[in-house]
Amino acid sequence: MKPSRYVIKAPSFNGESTIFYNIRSNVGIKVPSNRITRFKELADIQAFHKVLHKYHFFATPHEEEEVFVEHHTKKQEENPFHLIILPHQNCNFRCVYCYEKFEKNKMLPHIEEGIVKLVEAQLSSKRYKVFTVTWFGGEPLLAVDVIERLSREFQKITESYGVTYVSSITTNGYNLTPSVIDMLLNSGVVSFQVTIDGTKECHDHQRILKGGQPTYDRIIQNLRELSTRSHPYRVLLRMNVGQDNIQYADQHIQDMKRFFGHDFRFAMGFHNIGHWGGENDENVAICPENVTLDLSHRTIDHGMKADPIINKVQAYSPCYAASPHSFVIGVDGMVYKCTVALYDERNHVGMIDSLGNMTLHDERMHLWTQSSVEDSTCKSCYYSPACHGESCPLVRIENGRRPCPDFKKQMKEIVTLMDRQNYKFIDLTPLF
Amino acid sequence: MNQDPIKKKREISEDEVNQVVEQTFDHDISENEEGAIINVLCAQ
Repeated sequence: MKPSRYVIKAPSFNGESTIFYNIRSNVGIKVPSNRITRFKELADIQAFHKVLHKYHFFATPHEEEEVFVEHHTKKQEENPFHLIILPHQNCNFRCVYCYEKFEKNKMLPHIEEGIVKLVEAQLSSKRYKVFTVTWFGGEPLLAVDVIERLSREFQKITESYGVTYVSSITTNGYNLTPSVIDMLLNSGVVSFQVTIDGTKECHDHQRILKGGQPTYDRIIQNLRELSTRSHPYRVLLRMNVGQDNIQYADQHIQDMKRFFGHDFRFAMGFHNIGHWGGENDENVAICPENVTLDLSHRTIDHGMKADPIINKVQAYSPCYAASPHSFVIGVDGMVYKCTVALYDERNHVGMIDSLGNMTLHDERMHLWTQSSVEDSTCKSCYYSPACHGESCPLVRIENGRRPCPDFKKQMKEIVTLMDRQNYKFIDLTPLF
Repeated sequence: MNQDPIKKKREISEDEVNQVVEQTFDHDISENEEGAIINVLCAQ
């Protein structure tokens, strides 16, 4: 029997095993390399048939269609209600690669009221089991009071409807003071994303205050304070990587290991700097290759935790902008789909008023949530379960081309890294 | 490569395979599932 198109073969990190990994089910089967090297050899063992069937390892005539239907069913019915709220659209930083224009400021009180009413209406419909909020900006911690008030309301509403509430924040970390940390942890925030762009020298070159002052020492001090809290949160220490800071990555990793290596809740993640549309784009030197895998390995080499790579390739997890249940809400009630194309009219998909009415522009919504549906190439792609042609709807909208993510070409290396990060594969090695 | 002749002849049973599968997924909240939640939250 043939393997499914979604099954790939990769070596384990120590080279002693072969892993057959299914992108559709996120299940991997590990066998000794000296006994099994081809899928056929695995499939020839009768005792494995049941498990191979259960997790879709065999090709079937309709698997493309099944994956397509599964994805669209999940997309319509099973996604959480997700709001990315911008409590403040200005920022105390002026990072060299930033694409935001900082023309707006703090969220207006009547928009806060509107958001609460919108959430109440959505959750009372009993359509959702989970409500997720991401606090984003500008810099969200310039409006701590907005976050505190809205969180309190969200906690009340979700409790009354029996809905799970999970929230995260993307912050530059400068205002993450002890009292703010406690407020956030009491407000349901379980995930922090804070960017540190390398060693003190690198970071203070790229991520400076509006007046040009450095920020590194204060962010580290704040994160060390966060580390003293016992709550079950996660911190992603993001490094935006370009030509100017990549050569200092190892030193940076060692610094992070020294500060946070003792705390399993802290992990490092790496992201290529791109030409994201900011004024300074032509002066930003980008790295041509995706740096994530290499730097993740180097992080582990140094004894520091790297963000689990599975997060990037999980089945049925395309970009939030493609979900019909995800909205970005700006300070003046403007509703967007994407947090990058803030100044593109096609991304201005609606408005919310003080009564919680969200008026949506159907055609623009369709652009973000449906534009991949007719793409037969995406439908037949081996990477389809992880992406569905929706890894970045913005690319398709702006350039009319398929937004194939770099990870699609790196799946073998990704599975090997997953093994190094102790992803739970079905390890059949002891049976041989 | 030399293989243990006894192991080579040994037949693997479906029960043994099921046991391994159960051990793999026998946990309340797996790292894998937790990863999925974080993925949603850290998408930007």
